Amino acid sequence: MTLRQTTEPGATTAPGSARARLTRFAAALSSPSSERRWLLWPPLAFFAVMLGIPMVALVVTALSGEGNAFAEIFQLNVFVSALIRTFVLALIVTAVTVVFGLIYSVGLAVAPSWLKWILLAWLFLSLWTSVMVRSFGWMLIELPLGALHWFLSLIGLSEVKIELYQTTVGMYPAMIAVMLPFAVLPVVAAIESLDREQLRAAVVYGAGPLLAIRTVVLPVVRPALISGGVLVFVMSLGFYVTPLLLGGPSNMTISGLINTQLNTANRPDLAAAMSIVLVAATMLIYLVADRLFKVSERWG
Amino acid sequence: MKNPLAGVIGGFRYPVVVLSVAIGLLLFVPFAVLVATSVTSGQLILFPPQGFSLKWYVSVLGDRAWTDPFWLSMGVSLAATAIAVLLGTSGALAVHRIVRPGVGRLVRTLFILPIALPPVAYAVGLHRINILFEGLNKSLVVLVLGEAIIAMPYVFVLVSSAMNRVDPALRLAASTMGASWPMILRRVELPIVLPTVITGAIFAFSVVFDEVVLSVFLTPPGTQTFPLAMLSAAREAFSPNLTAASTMVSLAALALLGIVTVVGNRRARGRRPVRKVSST
Amino acid sequence: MLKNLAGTARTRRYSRVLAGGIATAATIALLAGCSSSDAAPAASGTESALSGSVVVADYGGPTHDARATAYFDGFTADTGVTVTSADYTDAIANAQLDGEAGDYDLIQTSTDTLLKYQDNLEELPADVPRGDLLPENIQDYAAGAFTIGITQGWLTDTFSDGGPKDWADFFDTTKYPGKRAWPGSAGSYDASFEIALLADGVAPEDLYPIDFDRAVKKLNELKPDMVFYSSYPEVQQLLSSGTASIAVSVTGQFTALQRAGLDVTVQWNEAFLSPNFFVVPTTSKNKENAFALAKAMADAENEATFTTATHYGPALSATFDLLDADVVSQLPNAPEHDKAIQFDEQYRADNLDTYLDTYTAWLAQ
Repeated sequence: MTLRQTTEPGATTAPGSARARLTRFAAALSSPSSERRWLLWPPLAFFAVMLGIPMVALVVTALSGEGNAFAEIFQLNVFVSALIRTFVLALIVTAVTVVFGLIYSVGLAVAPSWLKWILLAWLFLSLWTSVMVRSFGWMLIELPLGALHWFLSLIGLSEVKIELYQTTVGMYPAMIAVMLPFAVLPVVAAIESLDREQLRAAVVYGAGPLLAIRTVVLPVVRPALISGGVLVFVMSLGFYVTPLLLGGPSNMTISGLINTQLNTANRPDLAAAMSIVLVAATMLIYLVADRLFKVSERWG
Repeated sequence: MKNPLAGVIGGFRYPVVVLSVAIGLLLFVPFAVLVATSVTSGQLILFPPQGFSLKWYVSVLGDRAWTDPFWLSMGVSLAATAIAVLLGTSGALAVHRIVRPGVGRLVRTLFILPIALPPVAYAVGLHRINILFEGLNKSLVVLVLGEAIIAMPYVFVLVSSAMNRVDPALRLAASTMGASWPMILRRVELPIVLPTVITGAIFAFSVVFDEVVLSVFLTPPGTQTFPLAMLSAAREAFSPNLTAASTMVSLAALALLGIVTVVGNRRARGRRPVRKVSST
Repeated sequence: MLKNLAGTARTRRYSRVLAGGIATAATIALLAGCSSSDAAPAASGTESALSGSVVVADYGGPTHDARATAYFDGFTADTGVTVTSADYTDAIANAQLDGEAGDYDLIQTSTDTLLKYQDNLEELPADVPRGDLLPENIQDYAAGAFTIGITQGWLTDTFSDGGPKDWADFFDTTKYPGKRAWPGSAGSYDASFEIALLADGVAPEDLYPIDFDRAVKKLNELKPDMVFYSSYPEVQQLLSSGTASIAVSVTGQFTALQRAGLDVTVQWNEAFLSPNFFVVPTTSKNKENAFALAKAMADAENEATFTTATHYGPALSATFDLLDADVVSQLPNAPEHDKAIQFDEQYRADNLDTYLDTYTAWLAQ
């Protein structure tokens, strides 16, 4: 039987239950400090060096410009709008990807075995193709006389005018496809771990599909969905080439702007300030979401 | 063996499968289009391709400007993935032992920060380390360590979510029986999270293998990783070389994964599910 | 309160780990330094006083291959100096142009950048022949120069009347229907404002100072008919797939299409000429090698090989004597292309920020 691990004794569901009391007892009995030290310090030390030094360098760069880089970037209309645009974009991509990912992973589980292999193969083929090249593949599909047009002509619909390339609608399929594996694979792993006996029991005792999904499947899958969603959201904030290529320059994201400041304008201070703001905003949103939706606790 | 989930969702099964195939086309169609462009006999990446030829595959396989970067990327990605898996898993196990929720939240946030950081900003920072320590820039040390940082969140996030499936009573039971924590780790927790560690490793590897920004900044002049080779091949012209090379990598990775899965299944056959092992 | 405490504790821990990390990194650096100096190749067997290597940062691709054939291979054979190609990375190059340390010895760049960062560049020694076709104010710094054009081109069979004659025609979508492929990455504003002003009736000699408002207004007229490329090679796909009927691009892309067997017309009237070249930053670690390579590139015969392969314009007038007539007609700075226009590079260097910000804002709107 699965039971949610309580990171904080008695803080989550059923604080008064026997199980929670037991856990609290366990926490008091064992001395977890030594194991925590051994497990936590190596990654933290690694972070401190390999993330700490570049971050310090970033802050120094942001502050070493002639003026106040932070004040300057917030006066740039393009920056503020790009920042908002990027977060909206990431939100849309995440929402659609998580829903699609759930469907896809359930489909993987229940499809006949030959189809299951095909669906898995598609997933991995996509994951292993460079994002740059894949975006290019989408370009070839979406061009007015591209692959989609070719296919429609095959089935006698050559008159249909395709207006996808460099539209806001045209960039989403590509981004969702890029993110899909990251939402699917965690859920697949969770579904694999579903308790078979429990599932059978649900069927035997006549639980309808919706009830069974809600009570048996969802609790196990939810942490995986959340972790996939977190990955997808944060990764989506970094989109740059795909929206520029398929959405057109009016869909410029924050990464694109950072690159321009660094490459063409040679204003590393502005690029650094923008990066810091992006990271800070991401962390802030994550922490707020964590408070509101209890991401951490549900995540695991 | 049919997944019992099929029984549970009953009549929803067919719509779900059909929808999955439709979603799957988002993944497959671009790939198919790219493969089609790579077997062209023309000079340009065009769809539909002109004629049929495998000359671009021959040209990639025979060109050290493609094969050297491929092997370099394999090495860098393996090394970075190994570090990421080790430290990411360790961090995920540790975060479950943190008692104070505020601290746990901060550590989690720290662990996803590397994905939130724009690669170019991170790369510029790392590049400074390379400049600071003359000689480092002739090695791949900073590149490998930097890629490991970028890969670590994937492992951490997934393993951390899998820790959810570890029954806390198991650890308690084991520890009352006198098992030391490394033993509990090895016998109780790791077996349960292992499939997820593998998924995390796959993500980590694929992310590092495709990562280009750090490569641009941190490879010594004259050496290229695979994505860097692709980038430099795409700077002046999109030749079918590009799609041929990428097709080969995808197919090779798929084949490798298939072999690993088949071998893994064969070895796992007859064994009881992992959860049962932990209770013996 | 609690948060504050946690904060300070974290900072303290942070600095301690940071210090430890730096020490570790230093050790690794030391080790790496030792091994790399052992591995450094010994000087060549020739009588040349030079040895080691020179790092050239360019954009790779066919142009790089042509450069290797025309210049590098012979140079290495003569001097024993290895030419290492680095993938041009803006941030590294920019830092070096700003006078900071870096790995590059020769950096590919264009005139406005040279003028902007002249103080941090090495003047070429007297024994390196100057590119006499280049503007005088850059001759002392520019090595291995080649002139590219920025202009319009199309698949010849798109228009039966020979196609647009000038930029006004380019903006005329009734006379010449179809989408215009246009640079869509904020950093490559290229000749966008200049083109818009010429199309709006400004005479070439009155272009500068740029009237940005007027240019943007003109650009807005055409924006619905534009299809944007985020990197130059996309031009090849946009034209060959029929997505765009005309493209504004660097001429190398038209050459590439011609090489792929397509019949492309390039409009040289009102084409913009932009010399590109390599500069030696003052922080270069192999200056002698860089100068020697600059000398090898300033050789008419070598340049003729490069020009024939790339169809970029030469920097030495002597090179023209060595070229076939059909090659010469393809070159941006061929004598017959007398209607080509030079940028006011000093103005562009001084107003880089305005160019960039205006273009970024226009693209994003």
